[in-house]
Amino acid sequence: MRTATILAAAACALAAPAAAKPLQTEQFKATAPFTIQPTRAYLLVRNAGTDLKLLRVPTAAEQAAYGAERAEALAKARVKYAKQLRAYEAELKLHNSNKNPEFRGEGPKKPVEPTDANLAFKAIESDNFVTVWGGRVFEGKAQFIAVPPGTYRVYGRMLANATGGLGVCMCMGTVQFDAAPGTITDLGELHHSAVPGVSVKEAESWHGMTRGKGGLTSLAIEPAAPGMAVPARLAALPRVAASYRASGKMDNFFGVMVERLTPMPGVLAYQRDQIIDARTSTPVIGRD
Amino acid sequence: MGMHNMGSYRVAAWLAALALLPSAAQAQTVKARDLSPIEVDPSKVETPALAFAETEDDRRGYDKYFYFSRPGASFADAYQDVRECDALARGVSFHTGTQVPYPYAGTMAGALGGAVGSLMVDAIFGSAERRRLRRVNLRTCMGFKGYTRHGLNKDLWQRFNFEEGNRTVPDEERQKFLQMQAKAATAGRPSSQELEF
Repeated sequence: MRTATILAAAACALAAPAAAKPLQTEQFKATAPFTIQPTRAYLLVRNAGTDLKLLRVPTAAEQAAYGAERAEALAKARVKYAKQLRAYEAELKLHNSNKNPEFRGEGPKKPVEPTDANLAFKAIESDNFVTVWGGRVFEGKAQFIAVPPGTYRVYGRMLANATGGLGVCMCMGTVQFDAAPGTITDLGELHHSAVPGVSVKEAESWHGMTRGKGGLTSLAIEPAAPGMAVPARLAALPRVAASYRASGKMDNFFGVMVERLTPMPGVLAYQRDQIIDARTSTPVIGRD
Repeated sequence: MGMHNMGSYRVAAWLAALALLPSAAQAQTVKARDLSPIEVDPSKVETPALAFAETEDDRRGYDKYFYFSRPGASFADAYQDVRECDALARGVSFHTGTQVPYPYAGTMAGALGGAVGSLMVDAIFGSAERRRLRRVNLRTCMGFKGYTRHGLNKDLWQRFNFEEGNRTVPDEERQKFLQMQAKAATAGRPSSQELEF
């Protein structure tokens, strides 16, 4: 029995996921030397101008790590609360013992019991954003960046940090793609009709779509296709076109303008605000 | 949709202010928000007055003072729609911690909260810009949801709407207003002209 318990504990310890950490990325300048690493994924995107924000979908192991971190934080908060509660009760007793209303004051404020619902703890997304800097050009209007392999969602175009931002999020509809290790995933070209504070030109139409309900929005993606310019230094390296698929709504983490990605034929469509996977003509309900 | 160019000076101001803003670790913590459906008896929600004799002053204010309409929608659907758009317009915090409820359940686990994102906008442009951003986001969001937009007299508008600049509207008051907005949205086909989003 004891051996079994020890083995079970050891198994749990080995299975315990590592604590979440911010993503490690490296965006290359035009002259920067690089080699394709088999453990990293590489993104090529043609995106003149604004910074592009991508949101990596955490893996099951990362979600477990986040859950463990959060549970630990909640446990610590409860220990702290117990101390605060004892101090409060002592103060309250003292306060109530003072019978002179002139010197009683308002009395101590009862601390709020921490729960899973009100715990002040970072969101799992906070460590999973990737910024592709618009100003760091690799060649022409192309950016090139190394990222951890995984699934990424196109979050928006913005200048932002954790206190907020300026730009546009695709919070009401976007796409996602997989970035495989050891290869370059070509995201194609991003077109923007008007990004607040950044763009001075506004395109009224693009690929037959005009601005308005169900049509052109402030961001459109033209998937990689033969004939699209590829930086000379990347031409001979392993490269695949991003396989886009429709992706669900996201929160407005940076407090920016809310938008959605322009429909993509065969990939992304909308019925009112419902996001439709155009491959199957079915609504996007859950995470891919 | 709802996009406005703000000029390069604003970009420069933003870049200058970015370095002065608090780090993520210093960002404020806010109360978690819950978007799971709320059962409300629509018969107990006041239907706001929407009829008025339009003046030129009213017409000039339609950028700010308006209501949404989708005849045929149920009160429950409309209420959920205005709650979702209100939430998206507010922005959320990285530093709060509930799992994402409806309508984001199953799409991306995350934390919800208040308008931490507004710190950035406030630092550069002031609360007036945040109020404008809220209006733009509400219009965009409700537009995607198939609602039409109609102008309203300011006095009537103030009876069931709010702006968030320097203050945060308490949740009880917020929900009361959002319920009335849902009532307005389902009150029937407006006779007034549909405005552009």
